[in-house]
Amino acid sequence: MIVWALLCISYHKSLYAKPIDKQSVLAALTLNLARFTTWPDSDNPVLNVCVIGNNVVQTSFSNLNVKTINGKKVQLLNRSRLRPLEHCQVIFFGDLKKNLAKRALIDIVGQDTLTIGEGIDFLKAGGMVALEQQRGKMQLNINLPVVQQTGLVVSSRILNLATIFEFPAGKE
Amino acid sequence: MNGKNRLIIQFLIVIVVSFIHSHYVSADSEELMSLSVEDLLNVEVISTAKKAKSLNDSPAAIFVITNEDIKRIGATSIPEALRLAPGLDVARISANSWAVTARGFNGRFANKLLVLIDGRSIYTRAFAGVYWENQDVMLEDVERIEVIRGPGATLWGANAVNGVINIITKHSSDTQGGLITAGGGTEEQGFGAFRYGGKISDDTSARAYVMGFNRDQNTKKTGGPAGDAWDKVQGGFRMDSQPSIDDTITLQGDIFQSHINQDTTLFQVSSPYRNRMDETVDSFGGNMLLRHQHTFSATSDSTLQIFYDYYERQSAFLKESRHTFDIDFQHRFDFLGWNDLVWGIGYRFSHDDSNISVTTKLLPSSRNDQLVSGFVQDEITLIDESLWLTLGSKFEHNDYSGFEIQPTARLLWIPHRHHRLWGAVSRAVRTPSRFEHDIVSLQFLEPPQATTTPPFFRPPVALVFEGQRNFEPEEVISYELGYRTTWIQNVSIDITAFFNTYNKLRSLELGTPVFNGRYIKQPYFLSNNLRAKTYGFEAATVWQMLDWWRWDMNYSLLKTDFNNEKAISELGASPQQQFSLRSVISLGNDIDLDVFFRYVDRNFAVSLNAGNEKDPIKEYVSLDIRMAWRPVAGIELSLVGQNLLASQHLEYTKETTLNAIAIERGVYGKITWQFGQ
Repeated sequence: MIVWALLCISYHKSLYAKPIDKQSVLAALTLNLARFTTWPDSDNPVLNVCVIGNNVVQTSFSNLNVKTINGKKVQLLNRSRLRPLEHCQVIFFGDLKKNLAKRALIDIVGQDTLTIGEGIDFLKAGGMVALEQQRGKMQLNINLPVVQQTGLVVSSRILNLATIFEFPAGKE
Repeated sequence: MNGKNRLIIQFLIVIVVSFIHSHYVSADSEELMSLSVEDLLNVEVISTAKKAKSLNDSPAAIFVITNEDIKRIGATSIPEALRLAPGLDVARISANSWAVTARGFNGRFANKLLVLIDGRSIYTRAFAGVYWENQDVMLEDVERIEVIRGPGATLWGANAVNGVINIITKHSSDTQGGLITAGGGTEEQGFGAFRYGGKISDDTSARAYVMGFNRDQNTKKTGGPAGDAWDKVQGGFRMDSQPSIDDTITLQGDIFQSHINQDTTLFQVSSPYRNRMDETVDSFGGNMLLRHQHTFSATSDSTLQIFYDYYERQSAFLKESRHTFDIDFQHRFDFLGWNDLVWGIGYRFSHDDSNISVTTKLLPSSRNDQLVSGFVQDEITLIDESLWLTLGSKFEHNDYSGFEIQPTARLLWIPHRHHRLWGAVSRAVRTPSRFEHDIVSLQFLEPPQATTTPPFFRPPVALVFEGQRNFEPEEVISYELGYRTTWIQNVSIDITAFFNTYNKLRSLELGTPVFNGRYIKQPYFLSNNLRAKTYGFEAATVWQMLDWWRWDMNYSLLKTDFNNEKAISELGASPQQQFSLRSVISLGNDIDLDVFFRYVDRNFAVSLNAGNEKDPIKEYVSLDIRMAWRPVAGIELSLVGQNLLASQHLEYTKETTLNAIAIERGVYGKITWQFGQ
């Protein structure tokens, strides 16, 4: 039995010494992407990061304990009820029904909001950045026309790391 | 120290070491921010412990059974899958019938649970319950089953007295390609299913399926074959279309036919008085559902749903058929930024037909009934991101009991991201069934007897059950308090306490015996003279001990106090205690090992035939084990052992039978092949 316990733990270590929980990586990537994005109202001392998702998604962001990004005070806002989205500079779309994600993205067309979600479908729905798990690692995908429709500037360092898509931008 | 004790201590050491270890190796989230974007895109990611970290935000006792859960316990029917939920009492009466309820009053004809498949109510007005043997879905296509214990009448309507079960199948775009399953074993003698999904156009996807099975008979409690084998064939389809960015249309339907064998005893007033037979019940049915969802904004949408459902059953007891047509509209919208309002209206028309059998008739033999309903519910944000109050009520008019109001008030408080507290007060009603209103049935017959006193002969005594048109709805006022936490890392705990007071519960009253020259007719009528209080709690715990090893543990305690001793035999009960422990091991992506242990306390079954005597059911333990191996992508081989701890055990007895059936141990193998995804 003791041998079994040791086997369990060694098996555990061999699998998980390196891998990191996906949701934590998604949150860290979201906040890192915000570092490399410039908003038109660069004087705004606050960066509102709105998080849509359940407690697991919310906790992954709050656990990172990020106080400031580029000198702006980071304010994490739980927007699971999809309201209000007007003052969000960044929105992370966690697990959300397709039609609601699409509609929320239409509702914020015209706003300078960095929208980050999961899967290429998120880009097709009008999102800007889609993170996708491919062979155990996260892949960065950006829909350039949607970014260009806003006043946001995403650093070339990020664009070079990303796969660029050109799905048509949404309309109000 | 003997070997057994040593084994237990060693097992506990493993558990404790694993518990400490699971904390020790957990990633430090703050360190993640020191990694660059390039580093983050290069780390290996894994989805872990979702179940052990998630907290539901509903102010209700909700439990979700996922597609993965259903697969991994080796369930072959909806009731078997429901055994995963705490607070549900799922008892298998025979190979082809189940007694399923939440928080008490179980029976073959249990009537306080509302069940929906993709929004289609599968409750029948015939006895205000569910013919579980008629209800199947291809379990591989189920997305999740939401089990809500406690009243859900405000949103779902009458008969959601003790709970609601919502079976939700996958969107057809999520079931693309082919899937073939086949298998067989000792009890599950042979089964198979084929489903294929594809894209009809850019905006439209669809799937179609056909499935069938043949299940073996069990053993009578007194020994000998029970004659409860059965078979079924079912087919269906689902099509989902998105004609515009804001509109989604779903069309789906199913059709089934089954042959259900059962050992039936019918009584008659002439010799031989009791007629025991092996009969085959023919059951046939189908349904069609159309749903249109329109999204106005992220916080506003509407749903229009229409369905038609038909079934017929031909048994020696009764031949009945029922058409149900239902239309519902629901609209949700945000109001003033702090109200989430939802309102709806609905109409249901039902038409039934029945034939007179030797023992039973419905008067009239055919009946139409209508149900008109409306509801409104408002979730009010009292403190942003922390405190919500939900107020609502259902208003409905039905042809059986008239106008009913079923309100609810619910409060949800999230003081911290790891804690949820909620409370609710609700009223719900269980409206009368067609049988309760209109049935006349010879339920039991005492043969003639010689007596020692004049006239030295007692003629046959016929116990005749007669429905009552003035039978009123049963009522419940329910108080619930719930707490959920993920305070301990990789452990989630969900506890609900409840106190229910039931009024106007169905009672059986003896009428005046009448001698008609041939036999004594002893009528018994329905009344609303019983009351009950139930209270207890349910706990569901998930512990992700290691990334590849999870434990699920459920416990429920249910106390039932009736105002009358005889009530327990008339209304049925549920076990006072139930406990289940499930070990879920995933070795890499290729091997699964699942162990599911259950303890079910002793219970009593309703026994109408035996003149309302309590029929005791002993406590039992049960163990299911499933092993699965995926040698190549798309193929899975699995071996499942069910009820392994005893060759047979009794779970429940049907109200209208004299023959209790013990459920046998079973083993089956299964192959699943997915292709063309």
